[in-house]
Amino acid sequence: MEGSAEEELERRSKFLSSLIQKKKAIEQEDQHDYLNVRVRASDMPLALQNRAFRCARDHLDSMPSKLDSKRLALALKKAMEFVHVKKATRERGCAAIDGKREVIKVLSFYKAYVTPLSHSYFEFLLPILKPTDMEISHVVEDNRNEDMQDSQTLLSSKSCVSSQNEYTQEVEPGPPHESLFLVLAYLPLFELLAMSEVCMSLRDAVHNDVLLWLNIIVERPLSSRLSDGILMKITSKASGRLKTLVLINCEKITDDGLQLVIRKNPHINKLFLPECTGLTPEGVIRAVKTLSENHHGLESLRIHGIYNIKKDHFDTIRSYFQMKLPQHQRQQPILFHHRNSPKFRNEESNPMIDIDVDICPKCNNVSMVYDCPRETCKKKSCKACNLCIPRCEECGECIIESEELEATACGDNLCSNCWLQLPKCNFCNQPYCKLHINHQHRLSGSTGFVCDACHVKFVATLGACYC
Amino acid sequence: MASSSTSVVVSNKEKENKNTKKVTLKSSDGESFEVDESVAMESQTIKHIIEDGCANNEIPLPNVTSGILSRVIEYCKKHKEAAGESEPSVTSYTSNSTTNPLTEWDTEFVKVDQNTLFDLILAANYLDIKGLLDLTCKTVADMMKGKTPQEIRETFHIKNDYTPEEEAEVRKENQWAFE
Repeated sequence: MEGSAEEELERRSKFLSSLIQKKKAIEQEDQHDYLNVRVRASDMPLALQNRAFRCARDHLDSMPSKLDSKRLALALKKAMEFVHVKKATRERGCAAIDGKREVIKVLSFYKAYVTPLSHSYFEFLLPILKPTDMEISHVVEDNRNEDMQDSQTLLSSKSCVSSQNEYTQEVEPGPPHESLFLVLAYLPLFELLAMSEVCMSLRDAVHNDVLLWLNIIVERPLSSRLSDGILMKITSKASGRLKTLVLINCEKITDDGLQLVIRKNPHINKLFLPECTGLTPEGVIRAVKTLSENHHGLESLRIHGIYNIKKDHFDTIRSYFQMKLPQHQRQQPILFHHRNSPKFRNEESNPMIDIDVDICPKCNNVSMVYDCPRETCKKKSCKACNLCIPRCEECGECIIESEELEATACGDNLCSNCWLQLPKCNFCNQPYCKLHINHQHRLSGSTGFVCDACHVKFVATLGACYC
Repeated sequence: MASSSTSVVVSNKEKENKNTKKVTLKSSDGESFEVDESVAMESQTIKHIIEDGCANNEIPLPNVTSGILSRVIEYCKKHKEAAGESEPSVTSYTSNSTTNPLTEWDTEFVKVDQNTLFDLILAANYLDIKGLLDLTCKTVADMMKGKTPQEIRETFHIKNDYTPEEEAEVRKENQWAFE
């Protein structure tokens, strides 16, 4: 009966091989116990592994109490030198060893040593590590032909990864810290693009995460470089789910360009277009109309700085907003000195303000209309545009006509109280308002500052005496 | 006059006695912190643990070390106090953000070294504390403002792992932004 004999033979050989496997596994376990090692994951052949562990154990034992990762890493590297390494490929960070690909990575206590490839392993390892002496999970194989910097042999210890600041920091460049990926969501467009150029893992994060592209903020220095085509490309990343679009002073954007974006992204609820001088009021009306057609999603709009907005344009726009909110909500007053705070500009817009402009009660033009924070003015209607009622840049109070307007270095208006409080130029005794404070020229060897004009007149020409 | 002032004193005491419910948080390195439950509930993660009834003894936080946890607790305490004191609409239009005492405190709070800041971000994310996450992330975002990729690499010690070809490709893509 040949069939059964064959079967019997097979069965026996299987049994034997499983016995051998078990024995090997037990040996391996013993080895690990002996060395006090816990392997999390490894692609290394067993022999190599054991060699690595033995070497690491020897070194650990010989080292004084404090764990010196770098030394250990270098020692391991030496021990593995017999391995023939071919040129490492960048994406995988692994080496071709004798034709096969074996990836060996060891995670370090020092985050700086963690390669971008092991980023995903990083998250895998974050939960509590077992209190073993040494945990070797992966070791990045180095390329012997390249210099030492590329070798990233690392070890981790039982402490949690995040307590690394207790140890002296080596400031060698490495992969980006995890938290930087969380910060991406808070970056305006320019910084986001810069980050995508920093390294590959960041680029992947920037390109693949839709959430980063749902709120687009374009400000200096990108404003003047943004064209219709590029805007279309950027907004297409949101796959139609764009929520906020903030374009500050983007002169090249035209009505048609804007309309295309709006049509593709009908769920925009914040549309900020201050000082986008390429737009016309008709274009804005068209955009608002499109947005209110679908789900009345548009909640706030900023259009100051767009030329030629007249009363009827404004009324039309207002009517679209009123369609959405039947309730007659008295919107919160806009205060002058808040207009440059980030809260008002683009970040968290005051939810009560749907449109930033209004019709000035005094001159009937469409512009930003401010209320007065002054106590006595709250009863009266001290509400008008900046041209009709001049206001102090700092506190926003209306400047009483009888008071003399004090001179300022930046040319802005200040009431006497604020004028008194601000520091003055050493030469002409004029202050800068807080907005223009960066125009101050500081001189070494003396306190205070010199304003731009005086700096040109006196300091620059005199030269050497002042730094 | 005297009677009204004493009644104020009494009501304050009552308030104090109410909020004595405490929870213990345990950091990854074994240190325990006892805090008011209301302060701990600033963290949505902890709030869910407590509400699910799983917080009998201590709440272990294996991803947060004691140094970072103590700072986070400081933040939560301060913000809980501030929320209790001011009116419900914290953003009253008369208060300028620069004179808001909480903003000043926040600014001082984030004046720490880079690694601590990063760890705070991770902790705020893990513990789901929106205010702290916003604050720390915005601080780091401000550090990046206006920087070129090389400057960002230097500031945050990031290694450039692009191949020359890929780098050229990505630069070309973003050329319009950096001219």
